[in-house]
Amino acid sequence: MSELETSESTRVVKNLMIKNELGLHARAASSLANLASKFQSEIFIFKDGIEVNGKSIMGILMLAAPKGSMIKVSAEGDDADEAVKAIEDLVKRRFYEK
Amino acid sequence: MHRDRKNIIASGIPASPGIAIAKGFFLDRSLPSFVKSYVSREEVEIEVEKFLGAVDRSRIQLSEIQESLIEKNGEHYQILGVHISMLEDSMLIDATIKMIRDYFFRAEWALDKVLKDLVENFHRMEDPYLKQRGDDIKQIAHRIFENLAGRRVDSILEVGEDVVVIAHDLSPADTAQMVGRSVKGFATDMGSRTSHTAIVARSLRIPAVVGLGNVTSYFAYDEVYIIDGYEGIVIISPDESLISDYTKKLDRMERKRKALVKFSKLPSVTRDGRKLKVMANIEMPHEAEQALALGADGIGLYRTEFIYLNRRDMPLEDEQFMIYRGVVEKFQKGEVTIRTLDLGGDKFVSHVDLAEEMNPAMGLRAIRFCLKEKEIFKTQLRAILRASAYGNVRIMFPMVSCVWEIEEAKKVVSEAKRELSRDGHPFDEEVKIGIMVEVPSAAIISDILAGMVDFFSIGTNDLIQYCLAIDRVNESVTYLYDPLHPAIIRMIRFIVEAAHGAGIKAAMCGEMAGDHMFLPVLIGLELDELSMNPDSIPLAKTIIRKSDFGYAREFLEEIKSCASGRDISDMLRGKFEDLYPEEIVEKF
Repeated sequence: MSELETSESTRVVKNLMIKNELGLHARAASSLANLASKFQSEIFIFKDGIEVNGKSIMGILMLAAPKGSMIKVSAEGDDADEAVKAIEDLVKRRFYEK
Repeated sequence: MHRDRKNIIASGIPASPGIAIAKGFFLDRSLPSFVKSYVSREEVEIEVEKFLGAVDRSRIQLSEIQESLIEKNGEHYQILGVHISMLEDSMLIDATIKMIRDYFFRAEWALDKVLKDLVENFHRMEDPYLKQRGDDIKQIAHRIFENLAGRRVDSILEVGEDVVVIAHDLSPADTAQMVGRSVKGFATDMGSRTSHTAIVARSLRIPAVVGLGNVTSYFAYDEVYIIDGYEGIVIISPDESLISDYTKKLDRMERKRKALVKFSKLPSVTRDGRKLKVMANIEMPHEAEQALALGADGIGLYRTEFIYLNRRDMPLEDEQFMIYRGVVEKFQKGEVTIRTLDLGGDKFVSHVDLAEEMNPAMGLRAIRFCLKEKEIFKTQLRAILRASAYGNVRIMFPMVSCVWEIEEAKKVVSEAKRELSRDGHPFDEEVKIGIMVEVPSAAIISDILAGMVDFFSIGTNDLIQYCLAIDRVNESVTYLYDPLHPAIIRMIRFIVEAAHGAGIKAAMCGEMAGDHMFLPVLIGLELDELSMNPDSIPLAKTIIRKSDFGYAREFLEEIKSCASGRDISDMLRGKFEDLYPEEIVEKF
């Protein structure tokens, strides 16, 4: 399900599956962008060759990621590790959807 | 637009009865347009500051609105949270600042360009839900523009004090937001008596005048408006004496209503003993209680579209079941007729891919849409069937035009029943299935259709509009909308005869049923049930009790030879004037 790779420049990358019913819809995109914004690191999210800024709700929405799709999260900076862990947790908890 | 003006009267179409006196609240949905304009090199950073200031003000306003909501973490709260995230988005903010710095654009113009690109990006997306997020961005940008110009920003969510809403037009989503808020009435430039907005206003019991043409161009802040939903007029900035007259009128109406309500529990039987059930059209669960209090014999039309509007996802079966069950449990006194999804046309839905249609009213809507989106349809049917275990439920399909649609819809009902039995959910095995007769083809073959269903309900709004070929939202042909047109009377007569020939009941649930003026005609047409907005019930029952079935039938024979609706209404006035209270006679 995931592979963890760390390089010298503290870049952390992780593949995640979107499991919540509504996919990356507005509320989920909003909580992901808000969470990412709490970290110093630069955060990017990739899907199907598209790369967007992980701190931008509009960017995340433009990925059009429904339930079951795979995204790749990449963080670079001093707190890259915590950032990716926090995002992974949010995705795994299905964005706390009821 | 001077401040000392008084008593400006605008007249439009009375859409929902009642009188409202309150401050005006302008709901502006239009985006300003800008001409190219630049700042000098020295002004760039000042322009950036100006822009950031407007963004800050917008953020503070949105947070304040969010915190003022009673329901924390409800749908509105979350939508506002999303808007706040978008407002802080670098794709909007940083991109605009970059435009100002790199090209010396004025803030408004820079934002305008960035906004257009973003919206374009979203509108190009395939997913209809994501497509619509472009509209969220527009709403946020609108707020920043207003703050850049130093103007106030409006949303129905922000209404704190009692107001009347003034708008060019209101979407169903706008009107849905008015529920439980301090909106006392509304006035719009667009719309007609039978447009969705007007129907919703009546269901919310909010006085409304529509089709005013240009009431918004007269708007000024802090002015009082009187909305007279009986006469279809709006008085802008009334003087003291007018306010006092209207306040007295309001009290008088209220007293009259109370007097009528006192007798509304009495049965609606004509003097010569014909029983006519008077039922309620409802749109929201809370109206079931009002209907009961006002003496309704049942729910003749429960519109279910509201469950689907104003949300980001599809309502699940359990959620729908709880809502329907709530209504059915509240209304044990009579039948509850639940109409399946009637989306499309002039209504909107945010999560189903509806292609742009040239003529949505005649497009993929109602039963056509449900038979195409079978899963959505079946989910609703399962929810309705489960609710049928708790009371007396009837299922009704809208906009049926041929035999095949009834056959197909019944197949889906059977499937839903099989699944529920398998899952161990109780439901009423004998649940009645009926159709709205609102398409001329269904009316013309109603003798064939009557053998396939348990009841008919005539939807006059659409039947009149399709039969007379007039678009109900086009003000320039509203004058042709005539429920007494001989063609309509003949059609109703044929539908009722077809129903009675097959031994089933004929109901009417369109606007015509709730218009007291037409009651003698409807009694004479031998309809079994009339379903109307709850407020009209007490007076309708009073008039029925004063009526005579035999006399009404004779009257129907007499008007057979009438060549026009005008002739029929003249005869109606001549024969039945003594039946009516004076406020209705005045309207003849």
